[in-house]
Amino acid sequence: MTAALPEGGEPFEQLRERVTGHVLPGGTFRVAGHERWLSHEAMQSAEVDVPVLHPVWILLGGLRGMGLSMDELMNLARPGPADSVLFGETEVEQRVPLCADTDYAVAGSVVALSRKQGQRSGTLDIMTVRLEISELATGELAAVSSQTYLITRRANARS
Amino acid sequence: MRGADVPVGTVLPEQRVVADAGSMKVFSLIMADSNPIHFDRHATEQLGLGSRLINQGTLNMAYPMNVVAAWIGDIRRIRSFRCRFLGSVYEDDEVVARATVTQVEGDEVTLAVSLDLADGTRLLVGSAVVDLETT
Repeated sequence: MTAALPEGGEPFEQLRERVTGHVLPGGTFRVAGHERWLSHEAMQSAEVDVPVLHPVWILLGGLRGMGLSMDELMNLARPGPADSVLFGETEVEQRVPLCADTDYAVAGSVVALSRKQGQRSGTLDIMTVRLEISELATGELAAVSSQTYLITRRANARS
Repeated sequence: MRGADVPVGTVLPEQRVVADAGSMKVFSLIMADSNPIHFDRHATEQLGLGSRLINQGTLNMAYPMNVVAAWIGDIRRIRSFRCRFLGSVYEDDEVVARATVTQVEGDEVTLAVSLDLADGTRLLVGSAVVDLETT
């Protein structure tokens, strides 16, 4: 994953305060039966009882329903044109299996932004986003997705 | 199967998977992912990333999940899955997904999971927690 977005240059402490706790717009998603079928085949998954979704859909559904595009999400951290953005750590928690043809609501926020300085890698910002997925009809929390995004700061880094 | 039947150190049957371009293209649509490295070899080459497409991280994380799901017989019993991406999987790469039991508490089993290239290069590490009892 890469993002080429407007140059930031914002001092890190200010950036951290602005981004941490930022509530995402959120939204809803619904996985159609044919998307379930095609995605399971692409994942080379064994048979899964209909209409249950493979748990990778916790990540995919969260991203679909968070109310922002990936570029818009990354833009919160103001990556500069020379910065690169990568997936760091991913965690999904399955409380109730997600199902196709069911409406889900997604609510989420940026829960942390930290900075590391490496001798070889330079300045690295780590942004953690947590997304909660609930069944729309009942409000029951079904799954949680947490992702860290690694933003390697290049020429415009300020610490 | 109950937790008491599962010794720590149990190695699950591995799964070998070949990353194919068709699956990457399906996932580009599923994810609304416009990054051409998953569907346009010319773009991948122009970006200096070689002449083969690059698998989505979401597909890479599915393979060790499949190993765990095959072992417990029901994908709904996966409680959590955590992973870190260490390298890229390219079109036509053969990868090996593995899982090993590291902890057993009652019917809750924790496993270390990994994804490697056939030559042993590590591409993903992580852990999974499954509940043997819940359906």
